[in-house]
Amino acid sequence: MAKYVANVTECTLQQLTQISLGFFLLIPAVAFAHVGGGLSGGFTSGFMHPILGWDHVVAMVAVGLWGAFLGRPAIWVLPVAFPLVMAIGGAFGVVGVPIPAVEIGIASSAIVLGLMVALAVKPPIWMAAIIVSVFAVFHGHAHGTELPDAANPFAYSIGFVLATGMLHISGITFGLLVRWPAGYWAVRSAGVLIAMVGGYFLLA
Amino acid sequence: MSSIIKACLFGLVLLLNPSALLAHGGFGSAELIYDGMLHILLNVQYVLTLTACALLVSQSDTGEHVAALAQPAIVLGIITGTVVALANLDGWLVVYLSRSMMVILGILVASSFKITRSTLLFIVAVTGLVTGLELTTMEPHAESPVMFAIGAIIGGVVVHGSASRLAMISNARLAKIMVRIAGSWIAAIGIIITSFMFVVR
Repeated sequence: MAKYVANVTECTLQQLTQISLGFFLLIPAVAFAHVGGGLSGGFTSGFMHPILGWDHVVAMVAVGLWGAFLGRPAIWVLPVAFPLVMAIGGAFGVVGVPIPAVEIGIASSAIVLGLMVALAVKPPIWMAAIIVSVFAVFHGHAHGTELPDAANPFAYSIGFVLATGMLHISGITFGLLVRWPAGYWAVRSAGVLIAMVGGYFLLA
Repeated sequence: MSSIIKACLFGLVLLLNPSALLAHGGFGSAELIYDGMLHILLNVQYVLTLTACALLVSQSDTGEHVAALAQPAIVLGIITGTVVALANLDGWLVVYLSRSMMVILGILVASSFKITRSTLLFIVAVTGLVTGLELTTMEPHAESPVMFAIGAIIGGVVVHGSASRLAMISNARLAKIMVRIAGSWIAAIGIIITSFMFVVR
């Protein structure tokens, strides 16, 4: 073993992977770590909560789209500000602090953010951050009110923050098309679509 | 793939399989060290807090020197926290402190706040202190706190060192953005789980 450890830096990645897999086969409890009823269930339900609600999906994607559309530093400021403020809204929901018209706020977020992209509105970065943050409170509150009944609150929190972040990254990735002429119009068209989905949820 | 990463990966494999590392693992003090390591490595809260701390260190412009000093600082912090926690502290307060630390570290990473070297090392030491406090307070029935703490220190150093190394490797602008976004995610998770402490279920 000692000789092998001394030569480990000579291993290829493939050999290392094979060794690791071999060890994990011998100790399945470690390989599966925290997979179990409560924890995995909480993570899954938390992760799926933003993804299964189209009103959440379009708004989160719109945040990333708008960030990419505005360029630096909005490309990172908006996706950083949103989860932070959303968590505060989530905390309000968890402890039971009421916020009026949450569903209207969520639908409005899709409309406003979609229109910002569609109309190519480029406000100062601080104003964009404030707009995004205000809407983040509504999204967070909606998640937060469902948190206490989750199988595992910690896992649920991680799940929904990760899902939110990944939706932002999806928006950013699509928004990066803006550097090409066809992509520019594709991104603005996506903004129109997002605003229309928001309008549907507002009327529904 | 650099030799450092290979060595880190191999070390992680060994840490996860004590029978290979300790030869006669499975009983006595070796088992307690293993428990301490796994307690850190498999607990998402510790992993996220220590990762945020490592990201903060790697973000500083002072470079490798701070990263090198951060390791002893975090070890010193965990040891101090373990000793202080033997005085039967209030569990709720300790958990609150720990989760608040996670939020603060996440916000500092997200904002890419520039801090001086001494302040940075102080923050790292406090992170270790809070980790040690929570470990010992929440695991009061460990057969041997010293062995458990040794394991936890090894686990803490592994998590902190790995995250720090990974963040330093990636100097690209996109990677810096991802580090900030990761910081905001950690802070968000911290805010939400802290709010649960105020809910009577």
